[in-house]
Amino acid sequence: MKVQSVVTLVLVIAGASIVAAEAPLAIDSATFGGLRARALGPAVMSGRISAIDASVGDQVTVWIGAASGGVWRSKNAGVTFEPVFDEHAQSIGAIRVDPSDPETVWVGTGETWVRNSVSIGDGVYRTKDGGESWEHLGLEATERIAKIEVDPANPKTVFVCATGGLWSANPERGVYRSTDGGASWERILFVDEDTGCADLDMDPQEPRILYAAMWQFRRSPHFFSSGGPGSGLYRSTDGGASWTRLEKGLPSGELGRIAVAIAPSRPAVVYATVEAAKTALYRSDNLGESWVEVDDSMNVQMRPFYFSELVVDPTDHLRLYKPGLSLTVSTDGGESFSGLLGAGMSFGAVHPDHHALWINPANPRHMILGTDGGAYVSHDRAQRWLHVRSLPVSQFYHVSHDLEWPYNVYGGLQDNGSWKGPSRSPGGISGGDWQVVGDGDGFWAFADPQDPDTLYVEYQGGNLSRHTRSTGESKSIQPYARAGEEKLRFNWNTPIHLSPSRPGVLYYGSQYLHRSLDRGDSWQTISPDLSTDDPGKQRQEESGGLTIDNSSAENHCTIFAIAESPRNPEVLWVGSDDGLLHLSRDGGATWAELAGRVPGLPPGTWVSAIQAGPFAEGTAFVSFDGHRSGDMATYLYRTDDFGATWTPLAAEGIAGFAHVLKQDPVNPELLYAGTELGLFISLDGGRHWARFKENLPPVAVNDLVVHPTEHDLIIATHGRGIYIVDDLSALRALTAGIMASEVALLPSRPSPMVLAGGPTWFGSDDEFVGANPSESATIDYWLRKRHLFGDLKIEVFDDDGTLLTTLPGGKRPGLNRVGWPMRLPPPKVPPATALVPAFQGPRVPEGSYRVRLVKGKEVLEGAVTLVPDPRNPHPAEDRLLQQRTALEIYRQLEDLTFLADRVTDLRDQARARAAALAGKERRELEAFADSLDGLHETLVVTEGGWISGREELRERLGALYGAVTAYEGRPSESQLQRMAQLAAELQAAAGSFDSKAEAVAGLNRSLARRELEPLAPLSREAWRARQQGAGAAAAAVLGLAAALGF
Amino acid sequence: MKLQTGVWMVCVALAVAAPVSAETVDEIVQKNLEARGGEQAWLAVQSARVTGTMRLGGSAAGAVEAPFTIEFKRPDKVRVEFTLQGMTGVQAFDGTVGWAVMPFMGKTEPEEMAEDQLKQIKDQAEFEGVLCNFKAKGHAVELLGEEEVDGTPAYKLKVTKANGDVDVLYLDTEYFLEFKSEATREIQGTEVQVASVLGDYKEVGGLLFPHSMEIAYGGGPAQQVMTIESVELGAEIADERFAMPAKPAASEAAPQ
Repeated sequence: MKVQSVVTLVLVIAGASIVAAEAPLAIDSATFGGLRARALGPAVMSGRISAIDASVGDQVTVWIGAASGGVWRSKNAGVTFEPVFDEHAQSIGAIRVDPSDPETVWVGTGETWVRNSVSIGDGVYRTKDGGESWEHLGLEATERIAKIEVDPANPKTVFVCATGGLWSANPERGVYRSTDGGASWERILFVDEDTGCADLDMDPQEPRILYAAMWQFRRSPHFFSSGGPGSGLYRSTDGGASWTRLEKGLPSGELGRIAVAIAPSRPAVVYATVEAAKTALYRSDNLGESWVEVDDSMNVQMRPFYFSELVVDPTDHLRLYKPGLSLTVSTDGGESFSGLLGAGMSFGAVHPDHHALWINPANPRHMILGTDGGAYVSHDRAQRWLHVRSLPVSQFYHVSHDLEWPYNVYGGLQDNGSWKGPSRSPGGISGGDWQVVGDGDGFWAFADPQDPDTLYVEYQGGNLSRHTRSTGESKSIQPYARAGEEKLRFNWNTPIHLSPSRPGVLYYGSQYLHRSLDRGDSWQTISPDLSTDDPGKQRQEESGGLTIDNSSAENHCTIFAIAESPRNPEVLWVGSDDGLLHLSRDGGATWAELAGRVPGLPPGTWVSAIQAGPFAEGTAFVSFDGHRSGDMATYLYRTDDFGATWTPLAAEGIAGFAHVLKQDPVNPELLYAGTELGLFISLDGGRHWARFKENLPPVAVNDLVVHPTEHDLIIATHGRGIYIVDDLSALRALTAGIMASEVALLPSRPSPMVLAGGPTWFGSDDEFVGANPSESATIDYWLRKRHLFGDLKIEVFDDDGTLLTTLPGGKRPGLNRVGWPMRLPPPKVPPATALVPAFQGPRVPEGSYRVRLVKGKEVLEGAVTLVPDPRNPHPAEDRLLQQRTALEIYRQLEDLTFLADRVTDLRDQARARAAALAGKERRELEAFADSLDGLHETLVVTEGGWISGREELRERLGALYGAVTAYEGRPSESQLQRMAQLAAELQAAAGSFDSKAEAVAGLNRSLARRELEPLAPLSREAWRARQQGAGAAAAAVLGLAAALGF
Repeated sequence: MKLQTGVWMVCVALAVAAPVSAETVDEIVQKNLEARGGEQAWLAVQSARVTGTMRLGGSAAGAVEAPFTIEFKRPDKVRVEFTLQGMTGVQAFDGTVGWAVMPFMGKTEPEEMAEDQLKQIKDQAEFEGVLCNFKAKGHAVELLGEEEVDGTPAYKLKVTKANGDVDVLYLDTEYFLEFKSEATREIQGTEVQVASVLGDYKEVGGLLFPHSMEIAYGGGPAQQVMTIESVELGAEIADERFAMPAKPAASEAAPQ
């Protein structure tokens, strides 16, 4: 049983009726108020780490820069990490801790491991308070920064190695120097607009000596080139005022990417890996004056654009580490290398592709390594490694979901395969909840809608498989070129598309559109070549520059986006990476090209995503992305006439090149866009946009999807894993009318009464755990302004108008979300020496509950609907019996509390009177008090705390209450018998009190003689009056009891 | 559970307090104090008893409700009580000694507080809030600027307290009332970020008090929400309430 897919909501909005959002809605990020995205992670596979630095003092504070997931700080040497850069550019190129102040840290944004999927930065930042706040210090246009060096003797002198634009020429690159702590910058080494700085090192003993590696490089959508006349190694001996190109002993001819590293313990020794016709490692023993080639092993030569890092042991100038495909080490000054991660090409447990390595200067056995699969820590000089499990910097390309409850999400990641994970899990979504379902670089991944055990997954270059989750088997179902067809060209990130209306129908794109009617076992080609087929853009075999790098990342003239209309399966939209957009209205028989009709779109702009309109077959939403040609503009368009005309939707409030654009399937005015700079939402069909910021950094949003039955927005970020915005109902209800009102109660989806999640066990602080959705019923409302004066609260009533609970309300302007735990107030429990498992009231029955939002003098009314957990296997009569039983014990606990309070109250009265008396009268009263103590001791444990093993009526009833409320089905016969037995004991105890109280009349006669106040057993009314909030709670219980048929 | 800055104001005066730019820090603090009823009026309060309900777990399904009482007495006495299942936990400071009774696991004797807890309870003893009479108390207040915080334009004030702790307060630019604060506190040797959202301001005896406080640790959603039901100014509270009992404490908490 699924939670109803239609959002049923009773709501009354004071002074505002819901009208179609005709008027433009100017919004900002505050409009979304307290609606939070929750991060699922995962951190189990983590993601690419591009920079690491650390300070070593009383504690090791570690700073990690993710390729596209921000800056993370650990104050405990890497046990836990927290993101500290969530308001800024998420692509990190360089991190440097000021050597003279560990609280001052410099961050250069824009990764320089410039693979096809690399993100962008916007300059340099600095914190002076250990990461709590950051100052942007310019160099915005540098796009990417490889290194930062801070003069240890003069911390106001800072050098920035700016790599510059990847996809276009720009002058903002080279080496920059500031002598005023970043207030101003001077470009002190510049070659040309195609050449940037790729590495920089500063002599630790003589900081005026600097080495800079200059690199000529460029990417286009279909090609990469490393190397050219601009590349070279430079040295300054005057603090950057002048530079000399170092050539003696280095290869002649064009050079590519160079890494340079000074041996800290003997700075005359300098190492450099130099990409050239023959890439090799060079060593200079004379401050770079002359160089000798020392090694050309495979790990030294491999993929220099991606692996160009060298680290010398801080205490041993002959010990040199080369992070690369693997991690290798030389102990003889670079003359020879051996592998560190197991023998030969075995990687042991460590993910390949290494980009950063930090060695503790105070203890060189302690190292931190950054890879495509996260960070690793070694304490034995790189022999064994511990994976850092608290960095959810996973780089998803796409996300999908199934229709189970709770549903699962699926997606593929950069160099990290394809994964499945739950949208909720007992205790939170931890690494162990995720299951790897595909190898290589993952992209699209789908569960078969008819059979969630069957998944469609792929790895780079068009390798499509059908995977069986339960057995782990995969069957390759990639289509092959048929007779008469050209060799198939598959994009790095080849589109898989599932027909929204016909289960088992699958589309796949090469340059042709392929369709399978049998889950991929056979394929039809249903289109001609839908790309430009431009031979000039099909040069991947030559791509790479000095070092050929044909990984399929530059495959081009391919289909990138496919969409079948959910309104008509004959309507097919297809977009290509070289800027063509095609439509077929006859299931692929004929095709029309439409990109030329899109106004304001530069020809050839990559089609990044297509959504076939959920409401009309002639409607489509298309995003285009020109960043690989250096065009960073946001291109979003809509057509409602099968592509004849297009409306641009990129407007005020949006930024970043676009990855995806989708219309909400319920509210046609609600649009979601994912760009390189975050998630953006429009409430007026794209006329205004605002970034959704709450718990979601400005990270690349590569894909998103709305879950059709849970009404969640599922977000794939390329750098921070998966996020979910739970329950879009309130967002869908935001109209101009609502937003003009001071306060409005908004609808929410029916709230499932989630079953207790089963046992959970202790974890480990070093593991990231993704957040679950709230298990409370949600009550959403709108506030135009922050609430400051008077009450703001939510009251929940049952059918009879009995107040069940009062909840404090959020105060933020925009949307507010309050959770109701769907329970009565906690049971009354008499005081004793230890807590019993009765902290919470019993759950209320499913159904509809009236809600009142009180804001000062204004009162709005609405309702929430509670539905059973779709997995709840218990028949209604069993659930009813459980609720009645829980409520009965709840009442018994209250009766017991009343009784225990009567006993102690009368005892205390007796003792108080006794103190004023003497002799026989005193002894009588004391004996009376003692006998009440004796009774009290049968009601509650009065001595010894937890684990004393003692239990009386309170402890037995509390334990029974805990047991019955922990299970939503029929209580056991033993429990029912136990309840009856305890009820009898309680009754007997009450009887015992009553008979003891008979003595009061006699005692009072003595007291009257002494003119002392008579003893008065506490009445129920007086007791209630003493209880804080007891009236409401009692009424609630009575009301509920009536509802349950007592 | 920090009840700080009661803040506030009489609505008539609000209309006058239109947003003005280029306020100095002293002007902002002054307007805050006026809005809350005036510095002298706050300093004149000799004692107070605040009662309400605390939700531990915020909006979560597992949230637990507990009634609480906080008592203050000049110059720096404070006692906090909360009740779970009829058992009452106590934290108190008598100006010299900080102590607590946590009877929930069977231990009914009072214990002296550790240094970090002591610091927290001393914070709470500052009933009138940090801005009131801040110079005399040795706090420094700095205006970090104007910025929008959770959708509300705010003055951002940095308060460096006499004990070295730093609080950041956000005062709305319309009424000069504090609606959010952020602090870093060392708890068990580790720095923890504490953010508090204040609201539901109501007038009590000429002073404006926030009656709602949401407290979040470490940047997440609110884990603790306190709703104040009553504020009794000038309440009769004996000094003994704040002193650490010599023997098993807390009346109800320790049945004989």
